[in-house]
Amino acid sequence: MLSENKLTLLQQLVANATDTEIIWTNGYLTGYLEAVKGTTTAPSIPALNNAEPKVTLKPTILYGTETGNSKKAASSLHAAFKKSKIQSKSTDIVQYSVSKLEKEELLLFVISTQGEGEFPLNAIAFYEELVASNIKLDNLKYAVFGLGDTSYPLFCNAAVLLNEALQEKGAESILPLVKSDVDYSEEFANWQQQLLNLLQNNSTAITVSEAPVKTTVPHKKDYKGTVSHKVILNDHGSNKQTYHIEITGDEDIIYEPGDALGIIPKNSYESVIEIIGYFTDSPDRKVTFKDKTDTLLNWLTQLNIKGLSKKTLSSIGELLGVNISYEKADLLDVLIENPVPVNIKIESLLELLLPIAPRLYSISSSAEAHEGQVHLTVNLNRFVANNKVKTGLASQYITDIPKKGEIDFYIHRNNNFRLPDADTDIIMIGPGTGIAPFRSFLAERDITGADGRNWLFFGEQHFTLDFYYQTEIQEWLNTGVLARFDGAFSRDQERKIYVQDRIRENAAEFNQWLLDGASIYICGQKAPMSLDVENTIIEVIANERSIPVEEAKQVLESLELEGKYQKDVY
Amino acid sequence: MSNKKLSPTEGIKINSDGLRGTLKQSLKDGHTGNVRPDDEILVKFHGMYVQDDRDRRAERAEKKLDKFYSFMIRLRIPGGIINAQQWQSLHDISEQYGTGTLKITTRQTVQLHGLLKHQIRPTIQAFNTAALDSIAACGDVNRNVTVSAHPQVSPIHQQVYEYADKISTLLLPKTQSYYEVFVDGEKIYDRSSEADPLYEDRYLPRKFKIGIAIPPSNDVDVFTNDIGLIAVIENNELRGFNIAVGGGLSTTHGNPDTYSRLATVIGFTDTEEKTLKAVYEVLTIQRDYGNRSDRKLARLKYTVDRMTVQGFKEELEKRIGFQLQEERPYTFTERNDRYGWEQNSAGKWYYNLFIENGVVQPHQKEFLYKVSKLEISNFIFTTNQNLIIGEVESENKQAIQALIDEYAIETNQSGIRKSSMACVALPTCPLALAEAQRYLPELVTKIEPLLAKHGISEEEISIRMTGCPNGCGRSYVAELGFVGTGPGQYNFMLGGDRYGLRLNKIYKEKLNEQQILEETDNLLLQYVNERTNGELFGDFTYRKFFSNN
Repeated sequence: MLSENKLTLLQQLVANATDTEIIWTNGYLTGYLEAVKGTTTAPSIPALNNAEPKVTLKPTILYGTETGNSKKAASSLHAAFKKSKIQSKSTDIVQYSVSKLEKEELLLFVISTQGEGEFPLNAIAFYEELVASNIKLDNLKYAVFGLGDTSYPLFCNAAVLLNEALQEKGAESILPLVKSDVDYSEEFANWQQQLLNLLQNNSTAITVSEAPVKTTVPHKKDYKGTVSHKVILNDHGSNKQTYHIEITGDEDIIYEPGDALGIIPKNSYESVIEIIGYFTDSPDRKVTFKDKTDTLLNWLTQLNIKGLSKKTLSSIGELLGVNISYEKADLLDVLIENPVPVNIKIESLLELLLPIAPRLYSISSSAEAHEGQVHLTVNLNRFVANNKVKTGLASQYITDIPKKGEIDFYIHRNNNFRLPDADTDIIMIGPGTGIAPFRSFLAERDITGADGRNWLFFGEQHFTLDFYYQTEIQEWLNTGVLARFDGAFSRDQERKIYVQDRIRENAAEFNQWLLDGASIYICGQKAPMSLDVENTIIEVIANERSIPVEEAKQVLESLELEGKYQKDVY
Repeated sequence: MSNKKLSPTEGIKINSDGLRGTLKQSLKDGHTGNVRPDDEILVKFHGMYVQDDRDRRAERAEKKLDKFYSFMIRLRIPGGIINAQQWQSLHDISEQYGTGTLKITTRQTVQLHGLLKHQIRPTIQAFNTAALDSIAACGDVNRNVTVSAHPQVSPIHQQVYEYADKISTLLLPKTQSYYEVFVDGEKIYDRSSEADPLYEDRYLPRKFKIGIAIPPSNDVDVFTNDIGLIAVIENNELRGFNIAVGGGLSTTHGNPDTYSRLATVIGFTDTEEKTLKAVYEVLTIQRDYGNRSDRKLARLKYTVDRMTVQGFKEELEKRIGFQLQEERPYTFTERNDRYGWEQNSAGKWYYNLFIENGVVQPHQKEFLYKVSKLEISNFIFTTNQNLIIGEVESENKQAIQALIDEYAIETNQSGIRKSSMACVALPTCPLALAEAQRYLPELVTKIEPLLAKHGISEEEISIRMTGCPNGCGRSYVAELGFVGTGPGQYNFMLGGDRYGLRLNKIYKEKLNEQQILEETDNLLLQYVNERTNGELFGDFTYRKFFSNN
C-alpha cells in the first residue's frame, strides 16, 4: 500500500521507537483518522475553511484543578500550541467569567473531579454561574478533558456535568468527552494531538466524533495484607496522633517510591447499628439493592455516611420531609436531629447514599529497602464539624486495624511524583505527614547508592514530640545519604517557624542547589503550606538571582514543565 | 607529670578555643536535641549538663524518636544569696523554660532541669539580664563557692560571705566564650584579653570545690571540699582561716584505687591577701600535678596523697612565698539548718524553710514568688538544700508570716526528715544507678515509724542518699548513708558522725528496701539498748562496728 520509500521510513521509525513512542504514534494515527473521517459528514468550521495554512482560531484553555494536575496538563497543551504557532491562552477557571463565553470561538476544558463527583474548588463558581445563566452558546466549539480516578464513585463527574451544561447552552463539542483515569498522560497526549490535527489541518473540519465515550480500564491490582507493626510516632503530650503502619502483603507488592496506597474504608459497626436503630430495622435483614442481596449491616458498612455533600444532604432532607441547610454533615447528625417518618423504609435511604470513596496515603517505604513491605504515615484526622469533635473516616479506619489485622488495598501509581536520575540532587519539602514519600525516597536512594545529594525540610509543632522518623533521619545524616536537614518546629517558640522560613534562611544555598540542577519536591497540605512554600521559592529565586518576581515564577514554571518541580499535595 | 596518655577530655579542653568548641554549630543542628560529643564536655564549663529522660528511652526508640535530651543549668551564686528581684526573674525563667521545677542543690545554688536546646540561649540571656550567670558552675574548674548560710548564727557572716564572691571571681576562667556563644551571639571577643594564667588552656584535671565554714555550724560540710576554709573567730571577730585541702567523696564501684577523703587542715592564714593567695596556688599545684590520664583519680585528694600532705604543704609554701601559721582551734556542734524564724545580732529576721531534697514544691514556689514580690527580703540557699528568707526588718516580719500561714508553709517534719539529703539521680542524671531524690522521702516515711517504735522520734539522725558513688548527696558523711549500686539496691553506710567530721564506711552491700528496713530496725534497737549517755547514733555505730576497741 505504501511506496517503498515510505515503507522503509515507517519501518525505521518503528524499529527505533520505544514502546511508549509506538503507543503514542498509534494514538496519533487513530486521532488523525477520526479527524479525516469526519470531513464527509459534519458541518465545517468557517475559520478552518480558509485555504491559507495559517491558523486563525484562537483557543482558550480553562483548567479546573485541585492538586495541580489539570493545570500541568493545560500548560503542556498551551506549550504545544505555541510550538505549532497556534495562538492560545491558558487560564485558571476561577478567573474566568461566564459572560466572556459568547465572544469565544473554541474553549478547551481540562477539569478534575473531587470526592463524591464534585467540582474542584476553583471551578465551582464557574459551573454554577453557567448553569444559572441564560447564555446562548450556539457559536461556541469546545472540548472537555476530564481527569479522575476510577476507584471513586461518580468517576469524572465534574467533566460529565460540565459537558452536559455546555451542550444544553447550545455549544458544540468538537471531540468526544474524555474521562481519564489517574495515569492520564497518554490519553492527554492523544487528545492534544487530535486537537493539533484539527486546528492545523485546514482541509479537515472540526466535528463531533461518533466514537463512544472512552474510559480507561482500571489497571489497579487489589492486594490483601496484614498490619505487621504499628506505632504512634508522636511522644506523649503531642497534639498530633500520627501512626507509622507497616503492612506485609500476602504476595509481593509492586510499587515505586512516590506511589500511594489506596484503601476503601468501612463504617464502624457501632455507627451502622445506630443508623439502623433510627429506622427500627434489623441489621441482619436481607435487602436487595442494585441487583445484589446483602444484609442491611453490610450495605451500610460500605456506603458513605460521613461528610455528606450538599446534594446528598438535600435529598435526604426530602426523604425525611425536612429542610437541611448545612453541608458536610454526617448521616447520624441528620438522624439525631430529625425523626424518621414511620412510612419511610431504609431502602429509600440506601438509594441516596454513594459507595464510600477510596482514600490515598503516600507510601513511606521503599520496596527495595523495606523488603517489599508497605509503610504508611497516617495522621489520625481530628476536626470539629457541626460543633462535634470528629475523626476522619479513613484515618480512623486504618489506624484502628490492630496488629496482625487484615487490610485490603491497592497501589495507586503516581507517575507525577518520581525520583529523578540517581545523579540528580533533590530538595524535599515535607512537613507533617508530607514526610512520607521522602522517607521512601531516602530509603530508596540509600539502598541503591544514588549519588545525587538530598536535602530534607521537615516541620511539625514540637521538636521533642513530633519529629517523625528522627532516628532514621539522624542515621541518614551520619551516613551522608542526607546532605542537609532543616527542621521547623512551629510551636517551640513564640514566633512560629515554618519550613518556608528555613528555606528563606538558606536562600543562597537553596538557589545554588537549583542552579546545580536539583529537583524540588513538595508533599503535604496544599493550603496554606504548599502555596506558602511555592511563594517562598519564587521569592528566593528572585532575590538570589536579582530578577523580577514574574521572571522567577517562570523559572519555577519551566522547572515544573521539565518535571523538576513535583508536588504531591492534598 | 606522667608519660601516661592524657584522657580524651584533656584534648577536648585544649582544642576548644577557649571553651567555644563547635558550640555555635551544635546549637543550630536541627536534627538532634543534643550538642555534638565534644561540646557535651564543654557545656559543663558553661554551667550545663546534657541529660536525657532515662524513663523515656525505650518507648521513644520504638517511636523512632531520639532520646529526650534536655539540659540542666546550674547558676553560679557564690555564698548562695540573691535579692528579691533576682528571685522573681528566676521564678519567671523557670516558668517559661524547662520543667518548671526549681531544684536547690547541695552546693548552695539552684538548677533548672529540662531545658531544650533551643531554650538555652533565651534562658541564659534572661539570667544575664537579672545579673545571674552559670559560668563555671560545672566542669573542670572551681565550682560554686559555698559559705555557711546562716547570717543569724554569726555576726561575722557578712564578712566571710564576701570571701565567697572574691574567691569565685578570682578563680573564674578568663574566656569570654560564655557571652559569645550564649548571650551576644555574633560578637567576637578579643582573644588576647582571654589569656588565662591560672587555667591556661587545659583548665583543671577535674572539678574543684571550695567551701567556707563559720563555726559552730558545719552546714557546708567543709571537709568534703577540695579546699575547706574554716573561719577562726575570737571575741566575735574574724581572725583568719584554717585551710584544709584534699576533701572529696566520690568513689567508683569496683575500683579500689578510689576512695572518699576528708580534707586535711594544713595551716592558718590571717589576712585576706594571704588567704586568697594560698587558695589560688592550691589550684595551680592541682593544675600542674593533678592526674590528667585517669579522671577517676584526678581530684585534688589523690594529688595531696601522692605528694603527701607535708610535701603538698611545702610546695604550696614555695608558691605562696610565706609560711602557713599553725592551725587554730575550732569546734563544730551543728550541721543542720535552723528552721523557722531567728534574729541576728543586728536585729534582722531570718526564716529558714524546709525544702525536702531541695525540690521546691509548687505551693512553696508560689509562696516564695509572693514573698519576692514584697521586696522586703533576700533569699539564701543553704547547703542543706533549704532556703532562708533573709534580712527582714522587724516591721516586715508580719507580712511574711501572713504568707507563711496562707500557704501552710510551716510543717512539722520529723527530725530525721529535716536531716535528710538526696541528689537528683533518676531519671535525669546520666550517672545514676538507683533512685535518690524521688525515693528517699518514701524511705524516710517508712523509717519514721521505726524511730517511733523505739521511742526516739525526736533524734535528728542524718540520712543521706546518692544514686551513684559520686556522692553529690554527701552520703559518705551521714549517720545513715545510702549509695546506689543498681535499681532498688544500695550500699548501707554506717559510722559517720552527725557533724561531718568522720566518714562512714560500708556496713552491708547491695541491700533492697526490705533489707534496709530490717537492718535499720535492728540497729535502732541496739542503739537504744546499748548507747552510752548522750551518745549519738553515728558515734554508737562507729564504736560498735568499726572502732578497734
